[in-house]
Amino acid sequence: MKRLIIAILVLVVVMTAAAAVLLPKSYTGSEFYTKTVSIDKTKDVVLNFEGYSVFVKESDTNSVKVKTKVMVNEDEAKTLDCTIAGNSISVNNSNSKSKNIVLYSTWPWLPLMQIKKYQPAFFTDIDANEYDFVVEVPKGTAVNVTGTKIKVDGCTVAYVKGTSAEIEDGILTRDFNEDVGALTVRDCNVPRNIVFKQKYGEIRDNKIID
Amino acid sequence: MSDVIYCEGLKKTYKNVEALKDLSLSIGENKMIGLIGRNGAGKTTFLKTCAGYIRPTSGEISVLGGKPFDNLDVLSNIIFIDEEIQYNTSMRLGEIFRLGAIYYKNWDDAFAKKLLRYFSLDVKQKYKKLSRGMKTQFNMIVGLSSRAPLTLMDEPTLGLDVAVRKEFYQIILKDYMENPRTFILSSHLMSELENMLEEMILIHEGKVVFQKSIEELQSYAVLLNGKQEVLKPFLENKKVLNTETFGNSIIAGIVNDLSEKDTLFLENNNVDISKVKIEDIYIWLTKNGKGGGFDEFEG
Amino acid sequence: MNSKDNRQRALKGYVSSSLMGLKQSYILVTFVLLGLFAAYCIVNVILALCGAMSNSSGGALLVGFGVAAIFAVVTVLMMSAGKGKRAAFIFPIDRKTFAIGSFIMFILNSAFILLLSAVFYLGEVIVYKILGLIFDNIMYINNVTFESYITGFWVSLFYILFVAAITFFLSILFSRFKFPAVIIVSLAIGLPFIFPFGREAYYKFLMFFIGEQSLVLICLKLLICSMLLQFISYLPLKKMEVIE
Repeated sequence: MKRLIIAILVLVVVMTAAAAVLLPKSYTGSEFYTKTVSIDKTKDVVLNFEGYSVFVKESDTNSVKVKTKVMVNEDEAKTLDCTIAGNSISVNNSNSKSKNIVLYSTWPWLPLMQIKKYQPAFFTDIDANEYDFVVEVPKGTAVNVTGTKIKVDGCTVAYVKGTSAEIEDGILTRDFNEDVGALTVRDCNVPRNIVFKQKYGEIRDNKIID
Repeated sequence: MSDVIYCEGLKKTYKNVEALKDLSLSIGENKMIGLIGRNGAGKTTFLKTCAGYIRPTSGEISVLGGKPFDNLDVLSNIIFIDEEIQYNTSMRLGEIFRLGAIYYKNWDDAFAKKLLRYFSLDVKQKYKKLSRGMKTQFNMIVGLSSRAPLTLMDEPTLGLDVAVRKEFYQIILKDYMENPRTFILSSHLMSELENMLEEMILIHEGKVVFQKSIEELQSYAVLLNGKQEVLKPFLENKKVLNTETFGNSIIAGIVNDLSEKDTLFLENNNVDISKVKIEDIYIWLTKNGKGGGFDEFEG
Repeated sequence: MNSKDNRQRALKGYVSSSLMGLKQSYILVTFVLLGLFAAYCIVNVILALCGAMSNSSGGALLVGFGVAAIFAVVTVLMMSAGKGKRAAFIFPIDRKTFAIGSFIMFILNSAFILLLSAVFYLGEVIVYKILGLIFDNIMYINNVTFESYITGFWVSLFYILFVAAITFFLSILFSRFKFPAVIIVSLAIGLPFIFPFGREAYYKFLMFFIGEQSLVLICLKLLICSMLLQFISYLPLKKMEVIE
């Protein structure tokens, strides 16, 4: 009996220590990671998000705001930083870069479901991530975006590079070469002389401007 | 000497069946008692009441100075061994010994293991895998090794062959001599047990018929064998327990209250006088008046 | 006679005999959990390696809780059934020891399975972390924090204790009063559903437990209710005879 009690106590201590090492200290999975970057509004903003899907939209602020909805652990969130050089923003997250398979451990003990604080991500504010990053850029500033799946809404688009790109309500400024696999341009102001070289794409409801 | 068991007007009723009817007795300390009675006489009910398994319907019972039902202080000093014992199926014999050592403060582990080896059992064997006889042996080993001040055994030798039974009787007797305590053994094999018992209690239809020492019982009755014309008139004034006729002869069991004059008369008339086995007395006294014995018995 | 010593002996003996008696069940349930854990890890790893995004919605903690609840109910029924009671009373124990010892066994049984699940969960985490290290394209995200792991264990323990206490109560009630108890309990459970106030009462009763947001309060509520149930179970036990 004594041996059993000692064995259980040792197991509990070892387990607690192992859990302290293996498990994250705080619940960060559903938090937005936001970074604000000051830029020169008169120049193009270069967004280098290679390997990620990115959604770029316009806002009334004077700086660029980078938000990520990717579920990340505490330790990974800390390393999710960007390199900023003038108007150029690059994501340097080596941990999650090009990681396309995600294993989740979302369920804690079942009775903990009743306490809101411990409810797993899909019970609260995380929905399926359509885009890894959401970037807000100041109104009128031209954007230069590199990513995998790109969506640009209401911005002046200077250049896009990715597997697919969707541009809506924006203004196009330059030609589109073959850096984009499939391109959709909708409800945009498109200069008459712009050339599209994509094999796949859709150009619809745009306004041709001189 | 204080009483280990004291009962007064003890009754136990199961629905419509009266298992014990006004049972009264007292059993002293450190005695080897035999409990006899026909099937359904109330022996097991009495033992289970003493062991705290069941609650009497009415009457008084005191075991080791207290009421046994749900009384841990009393129960800690009692062990009840019967054929229905069902230890948990996954338990090994060694584990049951370990439990015995926890439950009984006087548990003799060395004695238990010695007995186990003697009967060629092994601590690693599982209880459920033992044969019926082996289970009985093991139950007896537990009963003896507990060294409980009150050891109750209901048909303890059931399923054992005669050789093993005799070995056990010797072991019980030896252990009893070395570690005196109160044993109550209920058995149908009284002829085998009578040499080791000090007292016998006969229960019939839920009542105590007699409680006597073995010496008293051995001289309680005599068997007369002679001619009918001699014995018939002689028996008219005697307490007859049983009679059997063979042609012109008669064999009669009577209560031994023969005077010297009676003995002389019987001898002169070629009537054989012999001892009666206790088992026969038990049979005569419990045959419900068929031979007239029990009806005439006065205790 | 030393009552305290006798009580300690009886309690220790009863708990020891129950543990020994359940040894096979413990081994069986360990293998069941181990099998589930292994199968679960293998399926997730295969899914991940095939490129499917896998979600561990049925991880070791969730499965472990379910198994612990089932195990608690089964063992309680085994302990409180006629055969279990007969086996318990072979040795010198009283009804109070039986009730207290059973309660201790509920805690030990639940703690055993939950501890096992907690160990397997750590194994699951290690497997995924190793996978993450081996394969560049795999990322492991764990939303179970150290805090939720530890607190969840305790809340789960008290919930299963409560389930065990209810099962014990019903089992004792049925074995003691047989058919009338079945009728009365069925009516007591079923009748309130006919009336709105009855349904509301049930809802309130349910919310008394699952609506509680404070960890300490939920644990206290479950513990007190379990102890209360065990005490109520002891009342019909007090006069129970040990009959085949």
